[in-house]
Amino acid sequence: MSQQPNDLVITGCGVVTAPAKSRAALGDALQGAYAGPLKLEGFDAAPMLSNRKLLKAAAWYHGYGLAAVEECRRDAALAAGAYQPEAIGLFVGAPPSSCFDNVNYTNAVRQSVDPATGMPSETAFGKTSQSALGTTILKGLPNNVLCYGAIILDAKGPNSNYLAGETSGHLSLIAAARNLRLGRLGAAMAGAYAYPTDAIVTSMQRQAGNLREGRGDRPAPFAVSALDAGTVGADGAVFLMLERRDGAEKRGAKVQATYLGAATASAGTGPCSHDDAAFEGLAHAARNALAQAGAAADQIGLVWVTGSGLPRVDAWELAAVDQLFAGAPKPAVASLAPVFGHLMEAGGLLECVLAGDLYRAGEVPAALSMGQTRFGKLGFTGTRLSADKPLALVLRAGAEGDFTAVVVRP
Amino acid sequence: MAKHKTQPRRVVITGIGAVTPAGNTFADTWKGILSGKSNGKPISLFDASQMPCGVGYEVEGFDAAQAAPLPAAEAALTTRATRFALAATREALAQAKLEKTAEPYRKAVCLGVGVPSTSFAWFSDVFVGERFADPSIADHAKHFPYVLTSLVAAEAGAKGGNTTIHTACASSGQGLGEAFELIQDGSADVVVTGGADSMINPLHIAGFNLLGALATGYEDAKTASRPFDVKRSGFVMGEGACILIFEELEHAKKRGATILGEICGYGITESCYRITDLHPEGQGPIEAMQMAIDQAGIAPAAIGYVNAHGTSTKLNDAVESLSIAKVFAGSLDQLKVSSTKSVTGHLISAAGAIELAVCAAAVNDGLLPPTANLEVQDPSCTVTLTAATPERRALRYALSNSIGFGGSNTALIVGRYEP
Repeated sequence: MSQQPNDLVITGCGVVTAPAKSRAALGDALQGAYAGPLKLEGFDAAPMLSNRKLLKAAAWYHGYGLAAVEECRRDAALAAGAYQPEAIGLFVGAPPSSCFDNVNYTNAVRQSVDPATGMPSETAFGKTSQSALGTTILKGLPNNVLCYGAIILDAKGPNSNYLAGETSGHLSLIAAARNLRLGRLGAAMAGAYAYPTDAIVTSMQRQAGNLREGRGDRPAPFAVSALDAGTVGADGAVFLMLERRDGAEKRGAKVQATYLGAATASAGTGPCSHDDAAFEGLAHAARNALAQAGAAADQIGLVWVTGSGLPRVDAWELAAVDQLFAGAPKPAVASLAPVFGHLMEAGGLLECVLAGDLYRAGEVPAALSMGQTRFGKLGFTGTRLSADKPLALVLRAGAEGDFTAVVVRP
Repeated sequence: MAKHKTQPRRVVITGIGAVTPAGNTFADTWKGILSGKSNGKPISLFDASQMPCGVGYEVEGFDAAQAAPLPAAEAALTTRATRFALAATREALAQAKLEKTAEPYRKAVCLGVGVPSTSFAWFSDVFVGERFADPSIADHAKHFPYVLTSLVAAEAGAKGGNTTIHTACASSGQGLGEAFELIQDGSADVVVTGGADSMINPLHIAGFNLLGALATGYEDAKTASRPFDVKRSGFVMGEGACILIFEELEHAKKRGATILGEICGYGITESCYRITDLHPEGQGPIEAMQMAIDQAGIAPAAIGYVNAHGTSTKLNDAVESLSIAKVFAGSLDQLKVSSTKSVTGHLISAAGAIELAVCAAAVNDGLLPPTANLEVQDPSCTVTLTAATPERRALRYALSNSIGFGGSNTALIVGRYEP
């Protein structure tokens, strides 16, 4: 695969996670196999933003996304004027936030108690919600990061905002690539943010028996025993800058990885389905991504899996990778989940640039390797990375049976 | 008349389904829109009597159990919007005569979906009361937009990938646009696309009221939404779903499908201005319309009708009118514009979908829908609006605008199918 002017390259990365609150801190987090909390307690985005006023109308979790957007812009060294605003796009993956998780709404509800029942009443809320206290709906809008991120970037081109669970980040990357290939954009930032540690999502996962509480504070993806499984949500945001190679080279940008292809698929059986055959969808997405990349399975040296720790989803990933590499040399398999936790919407992006760091080091760190899990039993025990198999495959599998696959050359 | 630029993979519409305040099928919705009768009423879904704007456009007489029966486990994961979406999906698939089991990996789903609409009781009791161990917490998953998309995919037997978009009022405009691109670039042959939303609940209506976005000072519920009228004062919330089947032309021809229109161009921009306000000079919507026209490869004069976003807010209608006037400067006297929101209400994340479907029907039937409640046109809105009754006019192309909070703007052009 020779390098082509219209190749798409990743030229910037912004990261806000508990283990690493910047791109520069990633190495230390991985080397030290970070084992601290995965909730971003007290994160202050303000020092990272060139326009701090943007935070006024945003919820705290939007700060993760905006800080990552700002760092990605700086990491890409995208100076004003490098591209026309109409040629810059922003694509965001976002969690399905409630509009109401802000103090004003809560206070208005508390003030709407009907004396007769002692309970909040819809009728009374009609009045209290309109009081001087203010009941802003704007703070919780799930497209706030898109709106304010576009202002940071002066990005007036095509854009989108995906509320698609675990595949959200990949969908943003795929849309960015499509618009670059259509020639509508010169640069496109794609990424996502997540806060699955909030009370509602945590409680929902707890009731569903999905949490790994009491069994360690990191997901144990592909656990041998279901008793050892369970997910651990992690807050964060990751954004990547994507450009056409000719444009990136023209402005002297540093190429961090080459985006070669991607595809989507789904189980198509609805959110209640526990269909074991759903893994076919993930394998299908991976094959289509390889086809779009013009690559074969034996060129893949590293597979990143989601490793959410949910037994059903882990089983899909295991079966899909096994099917994909049947008869082909087995690549190393890794997951960020044991160190970073399950980044939900924001997962699947960091892997695209970290693959380069791992290839340069020549191996997958022990903390990320899946060779000691059920993958090992299937023969995926390797950790060495070499130029003979130069491509990385990044898989995402969502609990509702949504699948994406991205192929990158580190 | 000049023909649009032929795309390598042409995208056509082969099915439309809808559940809206104007009708519980697309045929009934179209009939309702042509009638020009407003369906605005005092909100009945909750007590909105204490709010500045307590009117809405509600879907009535909809029987989910009949329109979209589901097993109990799936039914528990549905919201009002989900049930509208599933009924609309069934209708669209039936019209398209698409077999559920055919080519599952070549069928994708791409929808604009609204934000979670929890009930006031649940919000006040569980969320504000911090009763997070309450068993009802598990039910909250039904509000996640991608659950709706997943159910639509199951209904359609689609395994080609699910995309769920939320960019406020531009959500389904973007959903349709991305569906168009997915077929164009070969990722899918068929995409089940459109949007669904239901925000008529105390929490959302309170928030929009406080923003000053909803109509106030109206004489009665039916005339509260009055796009482009001098007495307009804000939008009126609606609810519903519209699902369209987009299909690659040769795929549709091979199946013998009836073709209801061709998608010829898609424009998408970000105003990059403020979260709620439009740029006063129309930056954003102007470029979106131009992008769609450029992609279609036609002159603006070839477009005979624009279904405006036309929310009935002071700012939107004035800026959108200005934008249309700039884009169609050379042919403004031949262009007719209307907003159908005064009949359907503002369907938010489903607005772009129903309004593109209206454009397709207008092109096919040669009928321009009226703008209900337009009594005295605001002189600052210089476009030529349709009359109070449907106007017969042969159309080759129509354009639908969507303009969202957050700055996303879309424009889609639908053309009469010609081989």
